[in-house]
Amino acid sequence: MTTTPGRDAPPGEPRRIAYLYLLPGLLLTSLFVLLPLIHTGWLSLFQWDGASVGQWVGLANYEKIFAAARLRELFLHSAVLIVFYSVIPVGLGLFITALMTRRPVRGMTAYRTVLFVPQSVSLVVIAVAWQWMYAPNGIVNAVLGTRRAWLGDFGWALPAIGLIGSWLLTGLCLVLFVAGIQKIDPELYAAARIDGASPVDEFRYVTLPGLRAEISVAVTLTVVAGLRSFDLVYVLTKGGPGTSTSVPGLEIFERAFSRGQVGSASSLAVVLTVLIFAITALIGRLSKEPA
Amino acid sequence: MRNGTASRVGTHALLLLSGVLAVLPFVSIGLISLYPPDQAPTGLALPHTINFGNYARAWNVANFSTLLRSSGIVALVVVPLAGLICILTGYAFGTMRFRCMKPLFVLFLVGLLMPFEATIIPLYYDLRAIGLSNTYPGLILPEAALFVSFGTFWMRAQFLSTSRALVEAARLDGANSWTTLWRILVPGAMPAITTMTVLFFIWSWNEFLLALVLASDPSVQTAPAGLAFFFGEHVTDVPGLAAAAFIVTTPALIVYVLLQRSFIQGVTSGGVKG
Amino acid sequence: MKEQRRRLGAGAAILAASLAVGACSSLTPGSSSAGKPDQPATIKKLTPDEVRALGDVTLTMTDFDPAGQGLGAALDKLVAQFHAAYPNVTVHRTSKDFNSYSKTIKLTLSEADAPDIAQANVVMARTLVPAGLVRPLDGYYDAYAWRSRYPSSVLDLLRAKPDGKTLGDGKYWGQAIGGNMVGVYYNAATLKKLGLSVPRTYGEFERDLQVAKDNDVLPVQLGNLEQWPANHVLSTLMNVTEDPQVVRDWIRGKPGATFETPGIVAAAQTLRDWEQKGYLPANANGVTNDRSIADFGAGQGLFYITGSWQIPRISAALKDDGGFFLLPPKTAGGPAAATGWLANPYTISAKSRKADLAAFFLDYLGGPAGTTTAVAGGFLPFGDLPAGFRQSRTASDVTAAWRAAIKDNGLVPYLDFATPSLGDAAFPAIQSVMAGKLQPTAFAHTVQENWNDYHSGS
Repeated sequence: MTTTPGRDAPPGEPRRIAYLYLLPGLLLTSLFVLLPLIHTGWLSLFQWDGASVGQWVGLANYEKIFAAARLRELFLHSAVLIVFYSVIPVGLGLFITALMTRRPVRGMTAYRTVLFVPQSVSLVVIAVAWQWMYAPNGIVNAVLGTRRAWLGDFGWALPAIGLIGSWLLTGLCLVLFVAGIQKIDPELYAAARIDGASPVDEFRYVTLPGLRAEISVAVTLTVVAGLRSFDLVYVLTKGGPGTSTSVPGLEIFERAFSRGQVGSASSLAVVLTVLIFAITALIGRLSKEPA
Repeated sequence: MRNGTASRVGTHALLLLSGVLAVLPFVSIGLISLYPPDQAPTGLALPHTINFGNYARAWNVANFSTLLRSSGIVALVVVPLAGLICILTGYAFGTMRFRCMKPLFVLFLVGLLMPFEATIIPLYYDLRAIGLSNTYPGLILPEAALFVSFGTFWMRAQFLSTSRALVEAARLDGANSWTTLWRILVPGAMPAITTMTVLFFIWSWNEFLLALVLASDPSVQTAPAGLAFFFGEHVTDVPGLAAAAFIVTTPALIVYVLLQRSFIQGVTSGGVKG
Repeated sequence: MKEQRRRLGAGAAILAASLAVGACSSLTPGSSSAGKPDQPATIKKLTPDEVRALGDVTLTMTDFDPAGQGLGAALDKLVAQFHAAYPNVTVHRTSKDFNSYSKTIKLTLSEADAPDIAQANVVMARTLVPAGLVRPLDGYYDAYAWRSRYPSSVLDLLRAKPDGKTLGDGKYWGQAIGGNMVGVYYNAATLKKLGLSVPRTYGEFERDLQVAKDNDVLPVQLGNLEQWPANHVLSTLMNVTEDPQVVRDWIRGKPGATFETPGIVAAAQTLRDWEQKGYLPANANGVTNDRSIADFGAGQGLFYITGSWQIPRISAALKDDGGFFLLPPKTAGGPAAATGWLANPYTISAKSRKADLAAFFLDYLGGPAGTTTAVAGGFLPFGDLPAGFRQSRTASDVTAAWRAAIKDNGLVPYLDFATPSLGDAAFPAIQSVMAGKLQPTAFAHTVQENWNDYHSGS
């Protein structure tokens, strides 16, 4: 693929008919995503328990959020999770993809099927399974010859949860990359081999550029998963021990559903949404730069 | 050649290890589901007596026959609905140029990016205002809307990377935009579409929080809600939970494996090369 | 120009959309969902004959004791028993697990077809009462003499002021079947092996812990991954180090009450000391409660401080070696105190049109006719047990301790009833106290701040 100036421009000419194609999607999105989000923004200006009549408080919820020292801790934990949810799975996914493109591996279909299994299972089930894996008498300790309570350790709990994210999302990245790699013209590989390219060159000049769209999708998806993550934390540690695994998603959920603070949960959600948008825009910008 | 063999063995070893890691937690769930309710499972050890009673108990306690049916209905509507919409939106964003394209695309991305834990409560009240709370459409439409966000993003990326010449050649041949999409682009994008279908099905099947709030009535509740029955306020029924986990997981796995096969067939039958 | 016009158009669309939101659910959140706080005062105490004369009626009920398990099984039987006595009345139960239930009950009760009866704990009541979603039961309390069923320590939390924040005053919101309570389970075989007997003072108890430790027996078993289990240990210690009335006043939101008392700080310090002395399992914060109960049942650990809901598992595992006592007071013969309350009351929904019948049913559930079934199913009874009622050793120990605590007016409700977010604030902090990452005074301060926030917030 070449990097001409117009590379990112859509191939088609101006077409009004595009709106017609967008209509059903736009309708669905407006009604069930945008409206509730606007509604959330509106609620963030109230003190409301989710049932009785709310009370207008203006921006007080936001002031409280930014004044709280805990907020920094929450986002710091998110940053750690992003490493595990995004960097590791994307890296590992690319590595395995590269191995596969080098030469057909016998039984690849079986491997791919198996590696994707974690993706196809409910997060609650995954959390429960890993709770047993991480128990002091669980499999992880049996393999390592230790008896550590990983999820109850102030230093280890967050990385332990992060690793579940890596384990889970590697399969997703792999599936995205495998779907992408089939669009790459095999002749490019043949040509590279005739030119005597090393496996590393081949990966760098054929696979990586060819997977550009998928990598950008994968990075966005996994970073967002890291920022939004709450299911695993909720089932495994509820943010503990202490607050060592608390993350913004969990805080939003708890405020909205357990603590009867729907207004302040909404304000935190708005803040998190803005942050996620900013980070995603950044990823979009970075992925546009020439490789 | 020796080098080749070594690297082949290394590749297999790595893939095998990853494969084992991928399924190990589920093997442990499977083992635990066979324990008698009063015996504490340890590591990967087999129970003293194999006990399938947990499955029967789990099935009855959580009323899985109703839950699985609801899950099936929801997924069977959500997947084609969202999939079709995404092909259309991805086509527009990926191959056409029109005013407000960027802002519109950002609107579509919102569903992918926002933390929807907080928007569920307002969504619930909005749905109730139009009489859709605790109904199948009340769960199907929001789920589809969230998936459309990812799908649009995904299909746009696919169509963007399709050869521009292909689309223009079709136009010169006199094909209208609708024919171009279904005759030229969709066959080439089958791997991506199948992947999207698999993901949608799995996401829909496993969706928990939306289903919990928007479809809290037992008659429309979906399968993952059944797992919660085994976490009491103070007491967890571990073997029951493990059995329930297996019951919930199995249909998603079967569908995945089946679709995975057709996905590979779609690839080998050609039409992929751009 | 065209571009601008389009943008304007988009802006107008968004504006219209937000107006639509407003139109659908009125701009102030909750104004369309909240019920009417005051119900007509005309209530009627139905007689059994009047109930039988009602013709075929159905009462709908929602609760968080899923059918077929624990208390849910007992409730099944009580419902069946009621139906046998009043065949024209069908009670239709819809159960959910506790977590799902607590997250959706507000929404369920605000629906037009809300169930007649809904279970609620104190935390839920703190929201349901001010939202006007549940009916005040004062009329039925008078008519059925429910006040005499409970000691004042229990009764207090069944009354809430209209804002739901101060309890012990205001209108009655719930009525229950029975209670539950936290105390010390012990392994009688291990106790005997160590040459010890059931302690009569707190000093003796601490001595027993040390003896166990010296003999390589785990003194107190605990699994605290879920965060709430250690709260029950701390609460139990507080009943020894602090006056129960101080804690009760704090929980019910008496103005000026505080958590930062020397007694409460001392309890937190003791928990930390236990951890340091090795009285608790080293990795308690990372072990599931379920696992630790299994370990205790398998003979690991001399004591386990937890609630009456574990009677079935512990009596099944330890048989006649499964004993139970209340953590003894500092001086022998002092009044008994224990953390415990109702095993979650039932409310009558504000929207119910069959409130009189619902009250009749609730009276039946908590009354003498239901006692045997309720107790066999795991509820602790307020009334007398029928003569010749057989219980396991563990269960009869618990029942005796329960009676002692009621007699001495020593029941202290659960700490997390204090505010809707107290559990979220206090439970992780208890983990930090155990790990030495939070000083006991700082812990008490954190918890009090949560209380202050709740009570100062308008």
